[in-house]
Amino acid sequence: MRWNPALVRAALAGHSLLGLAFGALIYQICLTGTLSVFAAEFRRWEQPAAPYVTSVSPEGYAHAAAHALGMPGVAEQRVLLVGPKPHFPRFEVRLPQSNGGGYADENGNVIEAVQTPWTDFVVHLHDDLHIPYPWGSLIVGLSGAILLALIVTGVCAHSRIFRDAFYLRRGGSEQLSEADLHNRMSVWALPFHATVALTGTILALVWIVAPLLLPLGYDGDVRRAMTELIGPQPLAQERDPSALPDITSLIRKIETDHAPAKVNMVDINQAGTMGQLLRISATAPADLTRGEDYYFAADARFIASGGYAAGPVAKQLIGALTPLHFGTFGGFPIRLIYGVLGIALCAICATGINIWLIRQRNRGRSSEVWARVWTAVVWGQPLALVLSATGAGFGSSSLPLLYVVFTLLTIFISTIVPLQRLRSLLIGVTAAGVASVIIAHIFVHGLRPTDPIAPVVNAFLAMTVLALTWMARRT
Amino acid sequence: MAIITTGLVALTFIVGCWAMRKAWLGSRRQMYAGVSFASLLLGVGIAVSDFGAELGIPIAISAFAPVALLVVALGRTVRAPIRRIVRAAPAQSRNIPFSDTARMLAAVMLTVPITLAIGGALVVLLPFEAQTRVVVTLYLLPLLWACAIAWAISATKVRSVVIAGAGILSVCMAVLLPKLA
Repeated sequence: MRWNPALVRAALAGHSLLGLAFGALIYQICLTGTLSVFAAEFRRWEQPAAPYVTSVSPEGYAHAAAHALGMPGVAEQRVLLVGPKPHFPRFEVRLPQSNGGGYADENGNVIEAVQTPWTDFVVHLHDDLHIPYPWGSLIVGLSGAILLALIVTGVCAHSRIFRDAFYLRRGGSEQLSEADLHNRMSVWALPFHATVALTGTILALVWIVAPLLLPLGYDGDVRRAMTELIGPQPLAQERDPSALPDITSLIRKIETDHAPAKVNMVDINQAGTMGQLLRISATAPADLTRGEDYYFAADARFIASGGYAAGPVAKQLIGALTPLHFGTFGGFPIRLIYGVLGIALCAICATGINIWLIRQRNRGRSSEVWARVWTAVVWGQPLALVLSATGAGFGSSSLPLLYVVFTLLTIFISTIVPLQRLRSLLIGVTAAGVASVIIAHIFVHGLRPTDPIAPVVNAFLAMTVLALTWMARRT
Repeated sequence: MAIITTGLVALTFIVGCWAMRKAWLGSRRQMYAGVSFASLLLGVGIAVSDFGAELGIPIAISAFAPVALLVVALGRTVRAPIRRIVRAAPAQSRNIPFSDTARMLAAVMLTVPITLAIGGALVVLLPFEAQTRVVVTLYLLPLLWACAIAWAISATKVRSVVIAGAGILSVCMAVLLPKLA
């Protein structure tokens, strides 16, 4: 089976152009996305002394809600109680409008504030590049669409997609070697690349395109649209004070009626008012969804369920978005696979530009400057993230600024260090940076802190140091 | 439990991919193709029986990619490096020409209104209830945008892209005008 040669040429030209223009941006988003897959583990590692909570009783949720409402300045706010998950044994009380709350014990008493600045920074960088809404989301959404376009043009340009399916030639021609690596990783992991690009684009752009689509779909009735798509909305005009509904019995009823589902989140919108709306989320173990929501009014009357687990197709499609993007649908093994394939996607970005650079060099159009800059991007980004982690350890409050400075610094270094030494230098410094992060973590939190994940993450980081050192020496 | 099942699925996939590679290499093609098909089917079956179809199929698809890459990596061939032929480089390195930059910008920016117009038309025209129309369109929009970018950037003549884009935009606006009025 052979593709039309004209189509292959045109697709390859388009593929190269898109890759060159957006390669660095896509690489950066893939790198932070890969780290974000393990955000829960990094959050636990950053704050290992926080209360270790594996389950919360209905009374614990009720106590936490009452306690949160008693905090000063909380009236008519949103109170979010996020229960523990198998990979994240924390009970978090969030007050989104005042940025208050913290980690609570299993009885619902807030013990300490959430202090995970580096993980928050990385996740935020992946979500919107720390650029104000809507521009950050727009750029991230655009990069997702470009990644999809690269997949389309890549498949069209790969005329020997089946014939070369198992070829991986290392050594020999440098261009062929890089092209084999690029093509094999791209083709065999195609469903993963397409899924994360599609869901990522939707997640980034949903609130930007919704104001255009909803009025068209619902004849201007946006409130009905919001109710049908994301659930019932609180009654903003009913602001007289009211007691909280009996959360304990509501949780018990849900867990009895929908066993083996377990409640893992309580969200009270417009808390403590007559118009308050209670959203209780429970796990849906056999479904491809983040969970099922149950809505209750101020008088504990059941309003509706979200329908993400067993509702209409549209709701199930909405419910599947985040699990498919973050790989949270099959326990740790699937997240690990997402991590591995995320690294592969970063490598695809890197090898794609490498192929172009080698091709240019082979044609006698040597672009040493671009080769250096690209090396600085590929190996400078992990370094900038590691140095940001070091900055977070020293209590720096402006990690985005630190990250930008380190990124510019790596680009500047690329202008003075020869290409042959640049790669090994950046990898070596990254290894040293990771080692210093491990030492600092052990110095601050000890070898065996409360949370058993901390030594595991440190061991993983130590292996990363060894791997990077080996790579730096090999280079 | 998830680890054991995923491990079992991965194991059957390793056999399936290895057999697929053997079939691809050409030795006893039919037998290995049969073994490959049976193993991959067994892997999907294990995932579906343990997690259910809704979770089992995406888990199986996720597990397949790293296993296939592992089999490809194990079958790699290592050759002696070819000595690089150094050609005389021109005095200045070649930059991306302005026309390419303009084409790329045009492909990305011009496709936005076209995609949104198609999205709007789909929300109005799809034969489902409002909720499904909106969500299906939301899923289709990135795909449409990506295909539009891929088409515009690969087109040899920008004029044909502009004409086709204007045509699509006109049809979509004709559909949307009664709603917008």
